[in-house]
Amino acid sequence: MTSLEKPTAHKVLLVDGDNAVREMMTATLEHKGFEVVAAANVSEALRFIYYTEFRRAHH
Amino acid sequence: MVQEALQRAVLLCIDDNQDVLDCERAFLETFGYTVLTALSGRKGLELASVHPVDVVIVDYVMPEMNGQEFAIKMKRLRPQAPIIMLSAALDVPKEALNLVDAFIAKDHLSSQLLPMIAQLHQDVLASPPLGYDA
Repeated sequence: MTSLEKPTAHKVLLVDGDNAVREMMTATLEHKGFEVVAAANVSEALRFIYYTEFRRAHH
Repeated sequence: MVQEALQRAVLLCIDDNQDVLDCERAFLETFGYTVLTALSGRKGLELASVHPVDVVIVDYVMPEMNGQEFAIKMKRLRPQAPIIMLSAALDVPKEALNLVDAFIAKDHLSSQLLPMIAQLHQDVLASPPLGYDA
């Protein structure tokens, strides 16, 4: 398996309002080696981004 | 050996939502299955008439031909192929559920679909072919 197929260091923020789509995409990407954060809507996604940036800025 | 046969299985997915269909394909191909997709029951039946199909995954709510109507026709076409019915709604009529081999609520798709496919396909592999009189 090449490093392109197993990008373990990459984190994906997945935003989709459809539960079935979100869960299948999460399982698919995780199986391919991505770290996935799934959000059901834009506010959830933005909260995650703000939280991540805040932690980065204060560490 | 059984695991290889399971992963070589051909799945037919039918859903009128292209996004769901694309996700089902990506998800199932990731786990080694060959996946055929159709946006309607009619197209699904066309595919099943020309391709071997091991397990069918069909949405219940679809325009023109719903999952129940599709299941009746599919069981006539390929009676040996198990059918898994999906729905976002939980009030699927009993008549529809009686026609199919399993039902999965769409909210539980990613956790229940793979084990259900494996179980149903393994049952088919273990059973004698139709018309076989032991």
